[in-house]
Amino acid sequence: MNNDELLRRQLKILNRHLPAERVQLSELLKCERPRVRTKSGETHRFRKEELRYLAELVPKELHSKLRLPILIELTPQLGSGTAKISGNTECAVVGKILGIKRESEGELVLYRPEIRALRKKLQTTTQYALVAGLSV
Amino acid sequence: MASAAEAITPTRGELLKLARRIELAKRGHQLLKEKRDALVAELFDVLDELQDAIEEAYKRMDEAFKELTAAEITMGALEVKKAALASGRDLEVDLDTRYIMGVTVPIIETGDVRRRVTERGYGLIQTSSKLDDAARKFEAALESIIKLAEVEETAKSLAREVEETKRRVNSLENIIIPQLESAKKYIEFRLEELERETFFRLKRIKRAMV
Repeated sequence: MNNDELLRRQLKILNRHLPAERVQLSELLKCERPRVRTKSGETHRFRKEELRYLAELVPKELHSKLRLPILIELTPQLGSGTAKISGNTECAVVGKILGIKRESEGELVLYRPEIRALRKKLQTTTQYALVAGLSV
Repeated sequence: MASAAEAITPTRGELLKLARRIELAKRGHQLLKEKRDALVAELFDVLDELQDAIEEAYKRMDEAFKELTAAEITMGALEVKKAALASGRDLEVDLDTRYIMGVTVPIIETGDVRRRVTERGYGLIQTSSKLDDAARKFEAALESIIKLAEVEETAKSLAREVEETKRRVNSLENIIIPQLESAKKYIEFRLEELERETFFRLKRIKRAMV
């Protein structure tokens, strides 16, 4: 296998840990063992205390609109260490946790210290996603 | 590097192919760098957590052993041992996985580790309250040890992945991309050289014809 094939393979598996389908907070709150299936077929478990924290933070009518895990999209085009959160409910939740208000059109740009602060609070209910316009 | 470049056929097709390979390698490099940086940040946070977990576990174990000694002084070592044998338990541990940037790390959830005095299984009349204190402290210590196990394994897995990603980033940065760029330069140079040769040949032919 040459270097190119190796690299292509590497890039293909970069996001294998992402969920095949994100699950509503309302659904996860009902589960005994809240988890999602990843693209690679494994499972990613959520901590119950994090779910309870989000349930308290988000108004009840939005529990079915918040899909978990929240994706922290790392896009090299935005600059190193900069990430993006997509979705109105997700942006509102992240903004509330970090105490920032700068989302526009359902997108919120986060910088490195903010990403770390968010990850410290939501270790299992957020996931990194590497975004690139690659035709691999 | 030069020999690798010389093995390539200096054609325009090859030059285009190389340009595509360089583009792929550079983007891959950017993405892997992002992954490495995120993993390093995660690792630092986990190491902080690990430090706290170690201190907490040591502190609680220390407290628990002090209480155990006090119980042994009050009741006698044999009575404490008898009570300990009577108070066996099955602790339910739910072991699952979660992902940090593609790294599988454990997540351990347990039922209530702390029990009420009446749930511990030894008789209350024959034992001292010092034994209850020791049991309570050991249960608290057990909680810390479970937490420590989870954090320690997370730190180990993250450290391994950081090392691997760093190696990949370095190989792209210091070997693969420079090799490809050098090959590209070589082809460009050879093509320019061929163009000059053709131009000169045409000039000679033209002069000969005149």
